[in-house]
Order: sequence, then C-alpha cells, then structure tokens
Amino acid sequence: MKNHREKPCIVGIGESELGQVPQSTSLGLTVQAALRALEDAGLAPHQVDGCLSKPPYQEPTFLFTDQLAATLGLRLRYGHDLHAGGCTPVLALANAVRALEAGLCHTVLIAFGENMFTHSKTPRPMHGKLHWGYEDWEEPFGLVGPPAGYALAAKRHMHRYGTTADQLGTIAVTQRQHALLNQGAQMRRPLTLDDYLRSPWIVEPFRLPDCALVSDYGGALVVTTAERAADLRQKPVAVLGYGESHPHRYLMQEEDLTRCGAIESGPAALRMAGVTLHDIDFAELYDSFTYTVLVQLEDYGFCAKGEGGAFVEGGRIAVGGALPVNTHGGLLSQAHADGMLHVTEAVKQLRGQAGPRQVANAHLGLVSGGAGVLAVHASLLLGTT
Amino acid sequence: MEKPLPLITPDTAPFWEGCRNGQLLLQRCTACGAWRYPPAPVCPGCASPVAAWTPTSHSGQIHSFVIYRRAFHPAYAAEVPYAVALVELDEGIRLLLRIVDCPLETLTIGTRGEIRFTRFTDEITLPVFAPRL
Repeated sequence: MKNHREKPCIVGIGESELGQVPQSTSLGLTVQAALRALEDAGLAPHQVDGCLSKPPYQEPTFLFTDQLAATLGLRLRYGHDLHAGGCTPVLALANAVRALEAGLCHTVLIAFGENMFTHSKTPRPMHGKLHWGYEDWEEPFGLVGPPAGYALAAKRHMHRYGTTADQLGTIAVTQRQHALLNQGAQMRRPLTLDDYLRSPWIVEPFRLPDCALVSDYGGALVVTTAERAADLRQKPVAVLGYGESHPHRYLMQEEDLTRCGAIESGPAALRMAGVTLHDIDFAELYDSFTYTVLVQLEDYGFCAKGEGGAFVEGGRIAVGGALPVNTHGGLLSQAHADGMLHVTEAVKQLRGQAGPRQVANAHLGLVSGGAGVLAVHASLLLGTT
Repeated sequence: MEKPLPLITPDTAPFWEGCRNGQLLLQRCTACGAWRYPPAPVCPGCASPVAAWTPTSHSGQIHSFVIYRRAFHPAYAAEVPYAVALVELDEGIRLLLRIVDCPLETLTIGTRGEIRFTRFTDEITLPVFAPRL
C-alpha cells in the first residue's frame, strides 16, 4: 500500500429508514439520509461545498442535486447529477475524490434516495419514468422487468458451466443469514436452502429469493480530504482505489453472455490501491440477483471462470468464512438502495461498527456496483488508514 | 389491457415494414458487412452510417431462454407461463423473441427453429421463434 495517508476519506455515513416507509418521498428519504451522514461526521450543512446526487427513476428531475442542495441549505462550489443505476455510489465517490484532489471543493456530500416501494403502490405517471433505451426491442416481445436479462445470462452460465440452482440458492441463504444480523434489514425471516427451492418462480431460472428487494431508501456519504478527516469524530475510511468498466451497452449481442465488467474494473482498482485480491478482507458485491454475485466472484478472479458455484458453497462467503460477501444482507435481503448500502456497510466494517456481523480484522474492503444488464461495472477499494 | 408496442421511428421503420410483409430485414453495414440489431443509425463496428436492409435466413437457434412464471406487465398476465429466447440467427446476430408452438418443458439451449410472424395491429407485426420439434 502506498500514500494512503493522503487519500480522501469517507467521514460520514447515513441511511434513512429502509424498506417500506409510508408517506415517504424520494427527496424526503434523501434528506433524512444526508442529515444522518452529516450528524455522523459531526458537520453542519454550511461546512459542505460539494454535492452529488442521483435523480429518482420514477421522477426524473432536472438538476436534482441543486434541488437537494437548496433543500439542505448547501452553498456549492462543485456539484452535478450522476445517474448510473447501481454504479452510482462508486462512480460518485470516484468523482468526489477527483474533485477533492483537484481542489475544486473540500467536503462532498453524496446522497440519493428513492421511494421505490411506496411509489410502486401509488404511481404518479405524470412525473414520468426513466427509460433505458431498449424497451422497444424487449417489452413487445414479452421481456418486461429487470430479472429476465440477468436470467438469460444465468441460464447460459448454468448450461455452459453446470452451475446449479442449489448454488444460486446458497448465495440467497447466506445473505439472508447476514440480514438477520442487521437490525435495519427488510427481510427478518430465516431462509433455508429447502425454503429457497420451494419458493415461487419469477422468471425461470430465478426464484423469488434470487431477486433484489423493492425498497424505500435513502443513503448518504460525506467525503473530505485526509487532512480534514483527521480532525473529525469518526475513524476515517480512505478511498484507496477505484475502477470502472463499460464492456458493452447491450448484453444480448455480446459474444460471451457469462462475463461481466469486473474483469477490467477490478484490476484497475487494485492497481490504483497497490494491493492484490489476497489482501481483501471482505467484499460487498452488487447483487441485483444471486447470479450477479456469482459472476463477479469469478471475474474478479476469486475463483476460476465457471467455478463460482462451487466457490459460494461451504460457508466460504459467510461472515467467518474465507471471503465474507454482502455482510449487510445486500439488495437481496437488506434493502435495494442502488448500491449505496454496500458502501455504508463497508465503512461500518472498517470502523469496527458492524456489531454481530463484524468481520474480524477488517482493514481492506471491496465494494462493487453494477448497472444496466451487466453493462457498466465499478469497483471500489476502501481501507483503514 | 394493451400490450406495450414499439414506437416506429425513422431509424426503425424499415424493420417494421419488413415484419408486416413477413420478412425479417436487418441492417447490414455496407462498409464492413456486419449485421446489427437493434436498428441503429451507425455501425458499432466501423462507424459507417451506410447500411442496407437485408433479408435474413429466418433460421437460427436458442442461445439462452427464460420462462416467465409471473407477469411483469398486466397485458401478459393471461399468457404466463411463456418463454422468451435470445435467438441467434444463422447470420450470427441475436434477437429476443417470444417462443411459439412449443411445449415449454422441451426447450433447451441449442434448439433450432425458424422465424414466424404474429400480427398485433395494422402497423405492428412481431417476429416470433418456432422451435423445430
């Protein structure tokens, strides 16, 4: 590791009420998380001069970051919207770090939220919905909703490498065990492999527990320079490295359906941090579906290609195992916050604040983000200084 | 409830016109010969904007497939379970297509079949994939 003392640090984290939050708005959830992150850092809104946010999917809003800043009373020297789905937290952190290193500002608030669950019950069509651009080639053909694209990749993976339903199920079961150790998690009931195998199909080969939850959420991070971080109340967590990958826009025309961008974003982040895969103590991997976790474990190189199924068995990815994965429960069992809770959880682990699910001697954590159907991938390495 | 139907644009009109006439026409780049789908104003391989709408073999195989056991749109509620396949045409290009005239339990990756057409409205006819049983 090199120069870690100079790298910008996460000094505050905030999570809103999660899951089903009646009467919530996307802006309200975002503000709640933002204020909690500032409180965590011991900072007031007037001490923030940078802000990055993500406009909600269900109410695509122009200059949402400035709306958030105005709502909180921030005076910005740096800020913009950034929407890269589940890659947003990692890409926003990378942007914040670059802005801090360029001296554009000294303290950045990254905050976004979405009343995804509440909105699904009370849609407001006049506020629009963000499109992803391929609807005309999917929805008329019956391919509607997020699971099918990933399910096509998973099916191909099962065909090519012999990956089994039990192995996908093991990921769901392990993350549920973690969620049960997390008070804020949406899913409170245990899940066994038998439960998994008896659960309803959604889009075969995915059953209900293979799929991310639908949640109301807000999440926030406060990032500042190493120098300022040293004077704040929390143990600083340094952004050691990051990488991104844009392997394609549309998976369906990719020669190999069973790969993901971790192949490129992983080595880029490791290089920047000056560490190797073996140094990583835990991984919070974007988990839109169980398969998403499996394909990343392979493409990062934690195991050989095609062996992700065997890798997740035997408790290896559980807290206490060789590589604890999604120690908070993830999108599958904690809440779907577009990847933000993967970052807040990694910070808790590195501060030693993860309670009953604390990974022993956690010094280096890997966080990933994903967006589209395996179309954009981002990797982040966080560490103690 | 009506099914979601595509918006016909200047970039995509020849595709839909082909379907109405019972022909799967795809763009083939005049400069480098690459097929492309979905329709686009430029070749992603060589950036040439010049392409010819070219008849395809109507023949291919299942590259992967999924079975909808739950409808994600009310218009499909009466049709579940149904299958959608990623079909690789003999030209090497892939399309997402509904599977027709085939028991779901017999579907496998690699199954060969042919393109057929289903009329939805005066404007929209959709290609579908019929596995060879």
